[in-house]
Amino acid sequence: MYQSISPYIPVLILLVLALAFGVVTLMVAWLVRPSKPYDEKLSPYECGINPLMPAKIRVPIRFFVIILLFLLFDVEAVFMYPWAAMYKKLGIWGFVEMFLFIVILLVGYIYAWAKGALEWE
Amino acid sequence: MSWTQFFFYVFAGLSLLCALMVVTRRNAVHSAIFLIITFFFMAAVFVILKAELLAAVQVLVYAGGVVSLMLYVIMLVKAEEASQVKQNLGQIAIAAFIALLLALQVGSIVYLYFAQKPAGKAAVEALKYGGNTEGIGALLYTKYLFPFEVASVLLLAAMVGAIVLAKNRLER
Amino acid sequence: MGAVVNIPIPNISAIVPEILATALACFLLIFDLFVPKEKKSIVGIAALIGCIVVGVVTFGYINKHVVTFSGMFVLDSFSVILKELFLLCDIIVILISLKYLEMEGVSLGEYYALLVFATVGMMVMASANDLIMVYLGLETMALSVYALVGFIKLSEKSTEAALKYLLMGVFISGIFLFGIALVYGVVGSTQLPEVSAYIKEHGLKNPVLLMAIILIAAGLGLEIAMVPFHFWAPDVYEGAPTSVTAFISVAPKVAAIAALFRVYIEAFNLMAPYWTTLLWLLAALTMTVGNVTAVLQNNVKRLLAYSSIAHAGYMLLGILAYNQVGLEALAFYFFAYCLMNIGAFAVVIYLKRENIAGDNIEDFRGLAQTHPMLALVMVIFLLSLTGIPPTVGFVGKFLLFSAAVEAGYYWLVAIAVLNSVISLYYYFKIAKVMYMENPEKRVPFAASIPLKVAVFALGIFTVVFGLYPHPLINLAQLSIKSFFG
Repeated sequence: MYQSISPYIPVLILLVLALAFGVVTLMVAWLVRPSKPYDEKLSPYECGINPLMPAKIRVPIRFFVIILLFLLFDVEAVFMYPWAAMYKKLGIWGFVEMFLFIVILLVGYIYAWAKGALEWE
Repeated sequence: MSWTQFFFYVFAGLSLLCALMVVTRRNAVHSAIFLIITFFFMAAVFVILKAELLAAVQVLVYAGGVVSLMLYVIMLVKAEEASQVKQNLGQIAIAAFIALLLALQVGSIVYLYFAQKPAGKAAVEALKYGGNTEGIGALLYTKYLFPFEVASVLLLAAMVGAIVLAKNRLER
Repeated sequence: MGAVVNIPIPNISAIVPEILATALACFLLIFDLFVPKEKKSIVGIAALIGCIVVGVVTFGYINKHVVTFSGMFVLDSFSVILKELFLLCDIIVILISLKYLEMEGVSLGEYYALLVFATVGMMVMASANDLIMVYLGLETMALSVYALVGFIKLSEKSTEAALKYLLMGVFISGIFLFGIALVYGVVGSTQLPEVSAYIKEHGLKNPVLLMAIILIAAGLGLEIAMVPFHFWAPDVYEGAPTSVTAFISVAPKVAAIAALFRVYIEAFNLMAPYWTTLLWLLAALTMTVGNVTAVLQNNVKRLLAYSSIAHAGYMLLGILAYNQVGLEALAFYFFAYCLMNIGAFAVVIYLKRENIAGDNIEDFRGLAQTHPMLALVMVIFLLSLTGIPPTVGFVGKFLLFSAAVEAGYYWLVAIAVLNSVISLYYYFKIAKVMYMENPEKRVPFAASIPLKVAVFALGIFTVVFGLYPHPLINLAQLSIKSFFG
């Protein structure tokens, strides 16, 4: 059982190190720095001038199209992992299958491009 | 308890904890961040269960795509105002119903385990090809070829639908 | 490692209709980019021709029986008949949409592409021999329909309808997937014959499969607009463009009922005692809720929405009967319902004028004086929806009810007949407004020729097939071979 996850041990070590780095840095800073809190320190810093408006604004709908397209092509990419892993064994038929899959989605890509869904305006 | 089991329980527990934070935080952005962490821990659980592809999907599609979509929605609606409103949409009844469904599912799996009935044979089949990712590949592009191609049509329809709806709003 | 992967060479010829339909949708999508904004009806005409071609090609597959793609896909007479029906719906809906879209200010070519995408999804559903295929077909159809519902820009009602439909849809599709997962967990396969074989071997007293039966009914129940998953229907039907309403009130509903039929008959045939009890209850509830609520409506689109809920209840009788007559009646009723229901919505589109939506019952006032022929056609559709001879709706209902009686559902048929009586009241509320009241000031209709052709052809066919139903009955009988020997 121990053997089975061994390839992921380095990942785990990296994870722990990354976490420890953040925590240790903050702890050390907290111990070393002087503590003089006042209200002005909590306000947003905009190049020295007073803030003009709240930083949290409503995001335009354009992002929605971009994110949705990203998500759809993301899902498309996921289908390619097992295909790539099995590519040699699947042979020419496997190639044709994936080719068809991509062609159908390519139609969507051309459509999105021509419609200007990828442009920012 | 082996190390594998130990890490399984650690990651499963952490993902549960983060999931609990997702539903209890008032600030929707905090919820979304916790959701990302939940997905990462679930990916770790999938890795321990030797479902590497699922782990990759969890990180790529869910932590990457789905959460960014959620964050966008949070920023589209005025999140600060929304967090002030006390919501009671009668969701407790629906939540209880769905929780009951899930409990029934877990219960049925436990029942099947103790009744010594096989709970699925695909996992065993997949190992024949040397691992989860290869196993899925071997099945997806042979037995499930037709669903795979239909999935591309589904994605295309979704793409067109999304562009039509959003573009209509843009051009007003 | 080392296991050799053999890719079974599938029978590509069996899926030619689906390939053609997908190609048509992709073509329309790209073709639309080259058509100037004022001439978008060219895309519609291209879609019309394409649908006719696909329909003719599909018809060549009747009487064949092919199972291919590792048992995922089944091509039999029942599926071919359904595919023909979906394409027929497409053709009629395109005819009634051509001018209507311009009037609503949405002359976008994607409309036709999405319509064909929805059809591809339904064709896949009709031929699905695997729960995964049912799900994928359902989602392809549903995603296209969500976009179609929200098609009218600047209309809050349309947007709200699309959002409502989407939220309900994704929630229920989650439930449906849950049901599929349960089946897979128990059986280790999602193919319908394998599920059936498992039940035969291990007995039918399995709580998990019972749960799956309920969840699958729920998942398909949304598209059927079956009680208790009917709440979305009136709002969505009202908010959607009327041509889309005509489409979603018929095609997805028929596709979902046919899929439910195939799943229950092919996979859970041995568990019939359980699902017949479930469907008995749902059918009775659906009919009654649909009809009783329809009585209270004053908006014709909402009224027809509730009436279509009621009709879904009648159609469930065909699944319940679970015999040859039931299947034949179901197949016949699909066509009858397509003719009369799209017809009724087409008349609503006919009434659409400047500033008048045409869906309020007041808009029908005195129609018999101003447009006697149109009023007559509307009465034919209403008679047919009620189930009064000499219309196709009567024959359909007669076949359905007699199949249910043969299967021994006396009480359910009694409820159904009682419901038909209730429906008489609200259908004739429209007829009364048309014939007994005087018209308001005349505003000329702007109906286009394709719409006129569609409305009157539907009216004529509703009567002709009511008097002489044999061609349709013969077609419906072909589907028996798919399930009963």
